[in-house]
Amino acid sequence: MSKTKAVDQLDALLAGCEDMFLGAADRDVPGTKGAEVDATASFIAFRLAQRRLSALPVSAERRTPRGTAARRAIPRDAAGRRRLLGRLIASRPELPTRISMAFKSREPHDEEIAEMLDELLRSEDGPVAE
Amino acid sequence: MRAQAMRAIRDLDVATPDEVAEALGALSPVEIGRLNMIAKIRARYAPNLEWRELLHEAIDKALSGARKWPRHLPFLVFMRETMRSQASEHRRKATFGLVTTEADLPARADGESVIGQAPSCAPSQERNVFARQILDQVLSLFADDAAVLAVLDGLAKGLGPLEIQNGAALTATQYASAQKRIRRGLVHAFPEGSPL
Repeated sequence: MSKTKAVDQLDALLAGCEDMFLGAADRDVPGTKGAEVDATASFIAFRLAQRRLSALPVSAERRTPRGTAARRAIPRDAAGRRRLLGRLIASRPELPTRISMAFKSREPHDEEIAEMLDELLRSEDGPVAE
Repeated sequence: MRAQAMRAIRDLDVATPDEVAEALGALSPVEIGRLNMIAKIRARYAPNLEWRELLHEAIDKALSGARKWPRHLPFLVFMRETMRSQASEHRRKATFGLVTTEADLPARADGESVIGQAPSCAPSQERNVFARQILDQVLSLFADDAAVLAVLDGLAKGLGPLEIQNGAALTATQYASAQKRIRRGLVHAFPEGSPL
């Protein structure tokens, strides 16, 4: 390879490698059933849910007690809540320590998980008009 | 009036935030796998940038409309370009620190621009050294595979598949096989769960 313009060569090389993944047959794309795909899918779902919540008319928000809109995004079943929290932890390195370490030392109780999710979504929602 | 019309035409050429949200919501697991891999490749070569951070930032920029999706581009290509631009910006900041504009610099008494007096070759050399190190890292992943090295060399020169095949005397099958080995090598270099 020429020693000049390494920056351009690098960019072309990376673009070429990326094209190999963009153009690969589905069966040749790695890790499509792994936890990382789940984590990205969860992040997208979370952002889309936030977007829908923020698009609600203000008057509807005002009629809703604080945090209720956010709580609607939390699955009703304990397994679903546990899964959602796990995915959020995997995809969001900036979470408060109490939440990001939830599964590290022991299995948290269902009530604790519900409480952490509630706290998380409420903080993402920002202040709601009373 | 003409400017308004031009702006209206430009707006028609880019997708709305709702369309971006729809495209994101419709991504299949395979498409998400492709995005993850692209983020890993790009982030690996932007110092201290975590691949999830790069991908999440790209998603946020697309959703907020900070980055416009030109309608003529497939959505994944648009996301790739967004990450590419962010990684490049991040690398630039990491290498040279925050940008100082000419307006931030003290004016000279004779009115000459201070920038005009500044040496310009050093940053360029530094970037080239950094890029060269990274190129070598990528090539070292495939040090024992001559066909793959020929393909990577061609890609780095900006050559297309046919030019690479002709230059390296590879058949289409050998070329496709080399591509598969490159994909496998990159996946192996960035395994599931790795921080980069």
